[in-house]
Amino acid sequence: MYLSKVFIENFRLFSQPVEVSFQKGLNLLVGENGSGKSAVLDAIRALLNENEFSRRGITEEDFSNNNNGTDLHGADRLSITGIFSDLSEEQKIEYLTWLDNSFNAKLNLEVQNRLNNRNRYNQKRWGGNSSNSIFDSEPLNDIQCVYLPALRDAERNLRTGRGSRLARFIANLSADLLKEKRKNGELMPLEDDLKAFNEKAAGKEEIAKANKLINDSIQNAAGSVYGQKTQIQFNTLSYERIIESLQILFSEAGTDGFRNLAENSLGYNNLIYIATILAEFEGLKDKYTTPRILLIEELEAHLHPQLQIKLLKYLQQQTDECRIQVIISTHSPLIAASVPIDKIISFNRVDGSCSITSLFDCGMECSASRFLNRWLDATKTALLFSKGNLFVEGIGEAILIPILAKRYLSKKKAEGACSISSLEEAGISVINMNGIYFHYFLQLYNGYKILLPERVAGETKENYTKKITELRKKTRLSNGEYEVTSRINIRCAVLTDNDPAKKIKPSLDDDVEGNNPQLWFGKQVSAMTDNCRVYVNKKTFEYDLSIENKCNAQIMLNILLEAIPTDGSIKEQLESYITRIAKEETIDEPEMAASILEQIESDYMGKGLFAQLLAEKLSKQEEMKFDIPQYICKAINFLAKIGE
Amino acid sequence: MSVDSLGTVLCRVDSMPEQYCVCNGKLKNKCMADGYCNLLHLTKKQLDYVESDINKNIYLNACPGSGKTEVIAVKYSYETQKWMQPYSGIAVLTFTNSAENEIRNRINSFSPNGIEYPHFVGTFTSWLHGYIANPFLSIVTLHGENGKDDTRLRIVEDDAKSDFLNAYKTKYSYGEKLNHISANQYCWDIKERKFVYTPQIPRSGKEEFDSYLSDKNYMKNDLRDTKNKFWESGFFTYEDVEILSYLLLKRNVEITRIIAKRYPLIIVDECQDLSLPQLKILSLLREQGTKVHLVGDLDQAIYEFRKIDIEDTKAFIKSNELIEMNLNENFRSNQSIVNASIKIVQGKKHIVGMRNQMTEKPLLVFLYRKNEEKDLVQLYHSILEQKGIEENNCRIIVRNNAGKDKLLGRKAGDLSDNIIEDYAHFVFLTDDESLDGFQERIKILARAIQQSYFPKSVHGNSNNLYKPEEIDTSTWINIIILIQKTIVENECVLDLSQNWEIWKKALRKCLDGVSSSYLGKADLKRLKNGIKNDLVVESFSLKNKNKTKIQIETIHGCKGMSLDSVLFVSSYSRGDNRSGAYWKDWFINQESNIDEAQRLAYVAFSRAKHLLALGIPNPVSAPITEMERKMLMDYGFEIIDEIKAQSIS
Repeated sequence: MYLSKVFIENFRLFSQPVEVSFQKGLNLLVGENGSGKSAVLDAIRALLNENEFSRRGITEEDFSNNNNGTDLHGADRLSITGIFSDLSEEQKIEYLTWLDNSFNAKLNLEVQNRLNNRNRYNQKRWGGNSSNSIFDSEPLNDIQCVYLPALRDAERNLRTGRGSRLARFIANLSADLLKEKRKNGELMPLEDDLKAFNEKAAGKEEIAKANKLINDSIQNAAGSVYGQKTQIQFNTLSYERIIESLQILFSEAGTDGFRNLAENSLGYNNLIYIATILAEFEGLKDKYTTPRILLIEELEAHLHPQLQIKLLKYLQQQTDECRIQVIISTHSPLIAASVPIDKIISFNRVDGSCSITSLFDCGMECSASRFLNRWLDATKTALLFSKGNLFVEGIGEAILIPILAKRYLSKKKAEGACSISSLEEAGISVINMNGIYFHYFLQLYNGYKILLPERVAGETKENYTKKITELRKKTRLSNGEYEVTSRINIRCAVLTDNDPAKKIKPSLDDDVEGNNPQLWFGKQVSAMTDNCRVYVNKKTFEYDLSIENKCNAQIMLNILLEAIPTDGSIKEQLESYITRIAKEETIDEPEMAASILEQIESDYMGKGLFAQLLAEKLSKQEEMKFDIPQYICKAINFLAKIGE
Repeated sequence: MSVDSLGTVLCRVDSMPEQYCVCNGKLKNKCMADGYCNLLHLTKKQLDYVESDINKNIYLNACPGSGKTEVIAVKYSYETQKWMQPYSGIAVLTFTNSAENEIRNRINSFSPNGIEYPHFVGTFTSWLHGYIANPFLSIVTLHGENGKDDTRLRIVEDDAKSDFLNAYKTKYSYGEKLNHISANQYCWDIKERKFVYTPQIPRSGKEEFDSYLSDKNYMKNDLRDTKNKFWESGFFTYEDVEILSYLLLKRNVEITRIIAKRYPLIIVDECQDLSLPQLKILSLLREQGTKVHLVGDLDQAIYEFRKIDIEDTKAFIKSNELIEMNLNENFRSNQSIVNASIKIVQGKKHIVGMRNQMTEKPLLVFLYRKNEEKDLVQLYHSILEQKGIEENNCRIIVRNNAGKDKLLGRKAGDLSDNIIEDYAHFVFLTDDESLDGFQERIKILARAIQQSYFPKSVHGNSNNLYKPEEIDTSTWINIIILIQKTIVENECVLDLSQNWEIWKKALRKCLDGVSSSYLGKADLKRLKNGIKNDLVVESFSLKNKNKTKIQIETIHGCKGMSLDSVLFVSSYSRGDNRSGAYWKDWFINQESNIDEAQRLAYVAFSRAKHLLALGIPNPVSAPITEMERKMLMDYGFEIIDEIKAQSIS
């Protein structure tokens, strides 16, 4: 049994109903600030009556306001519903009145936005589809939910006292014995020991003497009728009080002696705290068959990167071994990159409302998710925190596109066509695909999945493969050939190379056929979704930059000239191009672009270095004219919604 | 097994000490208060049941006064304290809230923690609605089909007549009196396989409905369609819920199986009150492994008017092979009362009256003449005084509310659905200080408020004071309190000695003075034809209004009671149907077949501990015959004539 879905309405920023899907084991909530990750965690806490949350209760701010701000009072009521799937036979019995028609357990919480006379908001919690079913509190209490906030005060939480984490843990471990002893009116062994010690202590000379003196004084002062008796000893403690006064001490590896947690570092205290909770889950795993959910806000808080990864891996292992469900929110690309992609739930803020997508619902093909798992590293997981993504072929684009975009957007902003002047400002990430096929990425964003038919009996493998390939490459899929899936609801543009044969040198006005094997995909997404677009150049990025305009070519030639190590025919040719541009002579521009490309790809230069040199120039000399190829402008227009 | 094993579980002592006062068991406080050891106090037969196998199906045939409630409580406590299953429990089901409270109190005295999860003690209806109908009924009725909607059941009583029910009226008319009926007024009878009209009003309703319906298919379809529409909106009568729950469980074995596992043992108290659908539900659960213990006395079945037939229970006991156990020691009544009770149901069984006879003549018949009811009560009162019996624990028992009204000197309430009369009825009942009176008048007022201020609203039933759905509970209570306060502070409205026309104006003025943002103007509708010049008070009370300290109870109301003495009063004349109100119906001697009338008398008779008195009419026009006198004497009654003279002396 695990929490598989949560529906939230009118809670915090969710003025529109949202649905979040979870999986067994690990779930990672990833997204920009204010996209609703904490609200989802808090919704789960409210629903499950998690200890800390129920102490705080629902407050005025928990009711959503509508977006235009006219509604000062907040929504009339908020509702949170959770679905638990995969119930065992035993759980179906325990959660009998929570069952829905598909034998999942359903838990509902509704809170009216009106204070009762105890100054609390009226809450109603019920199981299943009918609010009038019998609702026993035990099954709810059997769902263990532990929450670790982002600003953890581990020391405070591990401190001694009423309801300390540690005391609860020990109490749970000894629950059966305690119940048995209490039933028979017997003492717990620990109580026995303490009692014996107490008696012994009271008999020690100095204590006994002090006690006698006090008793004598009372006798003298109040007489035997009114006089009380005293006894000096440690407080007689019940088992519950004894374990509440226990505390955790720490010692560093390689040292002796234990020290108070107050002397420990924040990070390690956090680790101890999390370990205590995991030990609690682990120690009780045979006792409970009921769901156990661990909610962690910003796992990365207070931990250095290696420790983050280590802890994450351990949590992942625990989810399997102890059947716990862990839901973690994070802003750390490092953590996002360390888990399989289908464990990620992506949060995005789109046009003022929240869009939540569980990546395993995106209909990713197996090969695609395997690939993405390998490929996503800490730098690339940035795409999960962005408001738009521009996928590019290589290092050249990755360096130059942000700068070109800045030039383009500044101009557009001056014209009043948009309000942003750079991609960063818009939260749009430029992601380097390193020559990897882009259709893998777009599966997260396109919202459809091609339904591949099974091979029918008698069909040759060759025919079948042909049929499948034709289907995959259809420009527009018909009903029945695809299904709608979830998608991350942000825009993605791809800049890709046309890659015609090497000898083909297209001019600015030529349309030539390219060899890029994925060009069909661009057409398909244009027809099937509004979220993704593919923009193709004439040949390759650098070729297109230079053919765009003679000024561009001149700047690029100058960079090459400065860097060329040898004198000779090549240098002469480059110099002659520069001279002819200056004299405004007619030039075979495709030929020139091809030469520039050839030099950029040569050993002494390379695309990366060239891009860096050009980027420096463009940044330093903002007034210098440099035209941006159309396919790039179109991609930026699409992402920044210019002209819509 | 023995008392000792019971002691280990319930008292946590290894062996029972000779004297309870030196016992140190868990129940010692209770035993000290009671003055005896509660375990040794159990008889062999009671012990047999407590220690019976919960893996067997059992019918515990318990005669009146046999201590069955106590036995159930001990059984429950004994089993639950040994109980190991964490999520499966025992359900103890009763039929009334008062029976539930009684069992709860007893259980609390035997179990230190009272009633705990995973067990259930409550009425059959609350259990059925809470664990089966509310969670799953939408599977068969498809109400709230969109998964997000709340599929809670909205229960409508069969006598409800509100505007929202107009949306669920039949297309055809079912007689001059009934006309178009709404879906709450009839239900499917699974035994006779036809629709039946269920409200008690009008009296001829059932017959009229039957004769109109006969075999007309278009009418059956009409009734079915109307019912479906009603259900799809989430409305149900209590009968509907039972029938549909049965269908649900029959068609969805998976659900039945889970419920059977959730409740592996179901103990039903007063099992003679089980309806056929309820029995069928129990059968289905038994097939999936639930063990059923029925506890009760088939001779005390008195709900024929609710289509409850003891033959169904008998068939259930037989077909499910319940093992019969007996409790035949009556600790309540003395042997004379026991004998008279058994004789009335032609009982062949042997019941031992365990109570010592404390009065010389425990069986009396008072013969009364027309309009001597007051003297009858007076005489009974003085005899109780004579014998030193406290009136508090005595009741005057009558067949039904009409009889009660007669004795109280009220006019028979004709359960009118007139709003103005409801308001007046509320005022009339304000000087009734009993709990019953309070509850009744609040319900009547709530209905009047709902009907006059929220006539179009979908509303709840009497259990939630007819609360309109759009209003939340606390607001609704405030509205009722506000209007109640306004009315009881208004001298003009409190004065019921005016005629209806003037009183209505006073009420109108009074209600217009109520100011609340939730309330519009009350729509009081019209007075009933021809009463505007009658005095309001006369619609409710007769001139010789009786005041008696002895409480009056209907037979159904006194079910399960244990009373020091009972005066059971017959109606003055037989009337047109054999409802069991008239004494001659009680004593019909027919070997073969016991009528409900006899069982009603049996229930009334067997309430009494020390003294049972009957109030029997002896009209001058048709005096009681010698034969009849002899018959009464055969039962053991001493006959007292001329009660008027006696009561004065």
